[in-house]
Amino acid sequence: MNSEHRRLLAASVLAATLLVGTACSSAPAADQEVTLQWWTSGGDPETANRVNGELIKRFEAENPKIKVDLLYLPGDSAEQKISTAVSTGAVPDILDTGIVNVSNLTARDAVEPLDDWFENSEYAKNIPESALANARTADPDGKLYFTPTMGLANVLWYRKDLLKQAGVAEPKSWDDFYAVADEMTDADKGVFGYIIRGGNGFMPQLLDVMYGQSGVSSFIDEDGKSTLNDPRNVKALERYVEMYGKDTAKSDLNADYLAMVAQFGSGKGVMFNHNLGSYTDNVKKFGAENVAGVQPFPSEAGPVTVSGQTILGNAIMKGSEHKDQAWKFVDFMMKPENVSYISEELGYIPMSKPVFDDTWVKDRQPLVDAIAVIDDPKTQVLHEPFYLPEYQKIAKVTLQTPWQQVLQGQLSVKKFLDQAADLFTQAEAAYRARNGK
Amino acid sequence: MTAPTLTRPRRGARLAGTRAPRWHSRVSTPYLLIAPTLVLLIVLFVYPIINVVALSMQSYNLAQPWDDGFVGVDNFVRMAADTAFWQSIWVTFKWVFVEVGLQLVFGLILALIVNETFIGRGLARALIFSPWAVSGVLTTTIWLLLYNPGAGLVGVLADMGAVEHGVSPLAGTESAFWAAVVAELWRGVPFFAILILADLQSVPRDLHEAAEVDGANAWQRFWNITLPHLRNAIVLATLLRGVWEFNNVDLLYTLTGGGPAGATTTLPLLIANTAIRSSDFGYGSALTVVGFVILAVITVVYLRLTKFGKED
Repeated sequence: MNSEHRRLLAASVLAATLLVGTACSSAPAADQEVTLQWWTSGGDPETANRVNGELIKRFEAENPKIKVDLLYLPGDSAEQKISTAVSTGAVPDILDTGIVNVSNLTARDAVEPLDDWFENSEYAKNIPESALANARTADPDGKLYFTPTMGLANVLWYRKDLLKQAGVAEPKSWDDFYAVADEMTDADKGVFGYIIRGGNGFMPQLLDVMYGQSGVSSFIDEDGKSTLNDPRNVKALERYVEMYGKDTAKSDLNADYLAMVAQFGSGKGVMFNHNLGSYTDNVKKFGAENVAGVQPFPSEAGPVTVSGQTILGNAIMKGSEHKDQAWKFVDFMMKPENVSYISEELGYIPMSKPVFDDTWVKDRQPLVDAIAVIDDPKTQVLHEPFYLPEYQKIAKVTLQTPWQQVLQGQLSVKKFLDQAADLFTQAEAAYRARNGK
Repeated sequence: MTAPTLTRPRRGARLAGTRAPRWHSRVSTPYLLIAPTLVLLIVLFVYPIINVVALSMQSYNLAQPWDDGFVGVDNFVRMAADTAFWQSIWVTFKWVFVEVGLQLVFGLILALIVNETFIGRGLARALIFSPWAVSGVLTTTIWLLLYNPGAGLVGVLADMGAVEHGVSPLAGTESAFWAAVVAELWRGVPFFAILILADLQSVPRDLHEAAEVDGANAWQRFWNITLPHLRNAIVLATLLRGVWEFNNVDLLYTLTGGGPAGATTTLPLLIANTAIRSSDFGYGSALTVVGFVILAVITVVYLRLTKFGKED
């Protein structure tokens, strides 16, 4: 071996040693300062970053040895980014997630069960039992994979001021809803009574209106069969789809959340369905007195049927190297004052019993309505099978094209619902087979 | 006194203190020099291809990890029965032919115009070429605004009574395709114009003068002199653009997302939706392999048919 080759070999060995040394040095000593990565995706980015930034500031003041780095993921790409992170192992320590998404993470063994920490937390007792039970359905093992500290409910939003100007009464029933949409539509002026969500994320709106009208009480029946194509649902959805292009803009075919909000904000759309998260945005634009958010009207059979009862909270990723410190932060986020602050600012339902009595909760009409409906024993709560890891894929991707075909009259409502029901029934059967249920 | 004897060093003899390079170092040095390039090629080119081919024969779905494993050609069998796949193939070819054809025609016309001498030619060239500098996502933003029924050009036309209110070219299965074609045309025409203009400037002027003397009109001069001279530039541009348009994801993904109702879902978009949105990397990889084979075959056939680089 000549000197050139020896130098080359020495350089390689040195580089390898440095790499190994660098890797080893990333393991922190016990008393060393730790930096946690926290990924969030709820709310509009500006408000969410402001609110979460404030919470981090409070946490760091109490825990000077722990720093928290915040990363906001835009809602439309958050799932993809988290999925990629799990695949590559480049995960954060803490993830802001919820019942809708967490089953994907448990299926991939990406999140840590929180039960041991949770049982010793002084804030655990504040969380309503129903929210806790709901959170435990995320995985068949019944363990807790995120702290259910906030909730969302679907709402029909409408502009009270525009209805008043037009001399149209506020809707109190499903018939009213269709009548208001029709009366408020002035296509020559580009004003439409309703905004239908034809684009990305259409499923919650569809379920809210369809099950709300039909009164069908379950998504999957006892035999594991999806009720989506129940004749009452078919009839309800047919009526809803008739609005497209007549009482809605044809451009709603592509309408996603941002398009709906823009149309509603510009006064070109008078009513739309979305969750409580739109509250702060709507109030900022129109004032609390000019906008209303109401729960689904009673169905023909009598009871109110609500869907989209989602709960949100924080999870600790399995790949985290600082799980105990991460729990400190997750626990801190369960403090009633923190739950109150974030829920008030982002428009969530606080899932902490002491917060229910806060003044701001009682002052918010949409929130009061949502809580009253949930508390009413006659209310039927539709539990979407979020525990199916395929749920999001079917609801967001597979059914997107058929739904747009339905709106354009290229596919019948019946065929669409048959197809959707088949997909969920198959997924449920596979789930039951895997878990011996 | 003895005269000093001058002796000639033997061929190949070493000078004191030096060592002759050994045989193996003479052989290995060139390989060491090209090693970084080879490593990069293997890491960035060979490995991904092998990985995609391997994945195409597996079930690898992040949403259904319990099914993961080797499945042989199952993904390809599934593809044969998948209407979304065949629909995407049809949309892809329609997209490539329409885009490349229109970009060639408009690019050629614009190149011929700015090849002439006129006042403001520099400005005209700059304006024509400027869309090429705009990224796909930015192009999408511009055209999304134009097509927005509330705030864009479509909204203005609706206010003037020229079109219906609440209608967007992107919200119709037929119109969305053509709306996307126009947006991509805006960005793609400069590429053809630049390449063809560069080649036009090397067309011998004396040939045109001789033809003019012989009584050839402008069309005959274009058809018989200019166009044959541009052949290689046109073949290269159409081939490159054809491959790029086949693989177009940035503009279509951000402008239409493949919708509405799959009307603009090309094969790469189907791959993106399958692999990224549905997390089905096994089937997505099988689709990628098919796309790769289609492109490779088309490229070879096209280059043979056009006799690229060969003189007549």
